[in-house]
Amino acid sequence: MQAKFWKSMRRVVATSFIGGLALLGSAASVAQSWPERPVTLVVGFPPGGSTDVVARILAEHMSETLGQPVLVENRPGAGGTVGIAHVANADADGYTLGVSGVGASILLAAMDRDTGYDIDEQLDIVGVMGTLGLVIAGRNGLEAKTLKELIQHAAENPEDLAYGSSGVGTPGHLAMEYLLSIADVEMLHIPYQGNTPLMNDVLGGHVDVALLTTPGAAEQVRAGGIYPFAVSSPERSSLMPDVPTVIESGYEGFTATLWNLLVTPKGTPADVQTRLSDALNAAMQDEDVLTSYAEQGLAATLTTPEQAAEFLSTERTKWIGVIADAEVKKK
Amino acid sequence: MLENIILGFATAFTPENLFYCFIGVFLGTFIGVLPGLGSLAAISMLLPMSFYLEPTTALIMLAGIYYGGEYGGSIASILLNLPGTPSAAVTCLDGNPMAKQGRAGVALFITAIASFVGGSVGVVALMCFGPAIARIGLSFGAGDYFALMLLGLVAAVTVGGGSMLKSLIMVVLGLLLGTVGTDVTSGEFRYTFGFLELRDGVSLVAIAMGLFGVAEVISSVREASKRKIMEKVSMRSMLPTRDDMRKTFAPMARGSSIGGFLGALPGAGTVIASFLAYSTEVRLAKDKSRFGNGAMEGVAAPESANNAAAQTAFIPTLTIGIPGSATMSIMLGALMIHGITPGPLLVSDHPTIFWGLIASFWIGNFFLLVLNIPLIGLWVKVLQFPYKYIYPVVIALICIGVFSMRTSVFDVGLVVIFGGLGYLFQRVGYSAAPLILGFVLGPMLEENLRRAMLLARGDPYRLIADPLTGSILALSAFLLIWAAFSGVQNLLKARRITDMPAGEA
Repeated sequence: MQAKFWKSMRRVVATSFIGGLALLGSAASVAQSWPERPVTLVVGFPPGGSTDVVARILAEHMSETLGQPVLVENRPGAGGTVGIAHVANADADGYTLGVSGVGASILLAAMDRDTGYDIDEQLDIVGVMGTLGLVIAGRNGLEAKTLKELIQHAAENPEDLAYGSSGVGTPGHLAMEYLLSIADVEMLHIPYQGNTPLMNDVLGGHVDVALLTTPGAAEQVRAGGIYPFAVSSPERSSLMPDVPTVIESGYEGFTATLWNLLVTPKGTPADVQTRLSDALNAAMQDEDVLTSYAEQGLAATLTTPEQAAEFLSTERTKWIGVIADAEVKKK
Repeated sequence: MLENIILGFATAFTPENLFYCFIGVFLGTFIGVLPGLGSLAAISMLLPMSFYLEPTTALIMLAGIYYGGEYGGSIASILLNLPGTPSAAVTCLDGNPMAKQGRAGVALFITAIASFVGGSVGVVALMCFGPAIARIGLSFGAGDYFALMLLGLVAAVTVGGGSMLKSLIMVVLGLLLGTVGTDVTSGEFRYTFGFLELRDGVSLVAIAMGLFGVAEVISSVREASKRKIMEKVSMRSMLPTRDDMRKTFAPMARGSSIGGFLGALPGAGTVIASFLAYSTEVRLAKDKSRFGNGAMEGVAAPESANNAAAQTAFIPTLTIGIPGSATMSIMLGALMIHGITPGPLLVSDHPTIFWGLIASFWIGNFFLLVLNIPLIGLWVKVLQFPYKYIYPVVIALICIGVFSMRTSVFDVGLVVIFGGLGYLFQRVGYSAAPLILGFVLGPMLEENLRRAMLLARGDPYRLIADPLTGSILALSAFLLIWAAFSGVQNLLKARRITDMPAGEA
């Protein structure tokens, strides 16, 4: 269902995009002078991480479109919320933008953690910056060879398997809880501090199953260090075309993706937002950007600000439900 | 193997790569010297620039900054008692007393040599046994890490030099500070007192720079007018005597092995390596009182350890694609931007990157040696500067450095607080070094113990039954008993001496 949604969404956006271009000439006031100086794109994670890579790929293309450099600024901390809090409190002049991921946009607030901002009250959403699936992978030596077999094994031996995620309340943790609740089985959760120690432990055989981000996991799969059961995205990953999706494995309706939203402080002039949205969507159709995206296992997205806001609210409903079902401890 | 090495040198010896290697190590040394500014900050800043370079060249430069920083970090420790990087904090303990005794040149010389030896040992390990060491690293589970961290803590108690009780208090204080932040297992905030800035814990750089850097400046201000400026240092006085060299040989070997091993474990890092190398030397020394008063081993061992660790940290990073530290993740990010995802196949898919980088390590370490030895004279001249000029600059640099780590003004405030605390500790004779080690080890110890217990489904027996975990735990227990035993023995000896009638002792 989600897949169809995306396809139709893309078509809608593509046509409205062309229409939008025609309108652009007439509707220019503030946007005419903006941007007069470099624009800052705040990333809530350290340089070199997956969010940072997304930001840098898009920033390079957007710099060309906007005619001013879009500079990536890393303000890492507290699951990305430190950076977004900075954006939320910045001037709404279109010179401070942010990359807000699933955690910073939804999950932390949904678990009643103090983030220092309210996304609905303090931020405007420009568009979706692409989506990334997670890989459900097992250590070498597990008997199960498909996701169904894995879940079956867990159902028959409830004390046997443990799965690792990159932290409590991270998309990986919640995605697995979501799957387990659909399949109605239990598995012990082992939280790690990020993807790296988790990868280390599944490679070393210390934890049975892990939810890993795609590009790194694809390399380990290629080297035979881990065994991939399924990818959590609605479509197969460009990096591992042989690995089925969770839906294909027989869990209808299951999708879990990582995504990023391009956000601005609330009250950013409408025409500036339009220019940003156009620049973002232009990047999403660029050949080089699409190549880089494919290398990182990312799926490109084309959204208007309204569609992006709708996307956020759909995702929020889903994850709040998962958090409630999985009884993830609130603060 | 040989053809790979030739390939590596062929890659590294292109004029462009040599140039960027030099730029990297030069910048690294420079940034390492400046208190508070570490290689992490430098690499983050230069990462965007690396997008315009070939991936191999970019990595050669970034790596140069990283291990160059370990070289430079100790220079300010020795000369001014201000560690340039957290891992150089331990070098203050004996390096600065050496400088005060007029042997700054010797200390710097030993540092350069020890760093070169450590770096070389690390590179050899990386070249010959990289994948094997990486597999050993992988086999370390949460329980083993816990046991290893516990061993580190037991060793930490001996780092302080003087009283073991004082060291213990400081270790515990470090452990307590380490609990601040988000709890990994439950995701709860602990001891953040409503400060959102504390969600990721207290910044290590803020603690280290406060306790060592700012505290040193405060205490120097009181004596600034009294302190006499160093006289001119001759080239002659810089060179260590034959006896000096002989005494540092074994510490360098031990430091390199400890550092080389710990560096290869993801997450352990250079700070732990240098502290453990130091405490090993204290343990092994016959006359422990020399430590803290300018013992050569106290400089040679940690310096070789942190440089060996800086090199072997590339083992998990390059051979299995698991970055051991924040700095290493950034370097992998530099590859990711170029569309190369690091993993176990990096070595076979991109041999020029792997072997070119390793060859550049040799060249870089050599650059560092020839760069540093002639510069010793120049560095020592810093001591001839009036302190009224040096200290304001130092304070400014510390603030910039700490701020740049997380772009947080809050952290700058923390430096001030820890500076005040550090001064207090100095006045009452408590060494800050064990606190740093407790702070670094504590969170890892807790996280791994809790993970191990989760994986063992709450059964402590399963934890101890693991052969590796069990043996490391046994070793820690042995060290503790030994320490307690020799403590009691010393006490008895001391009592016997005081019991003797006057004139007989």
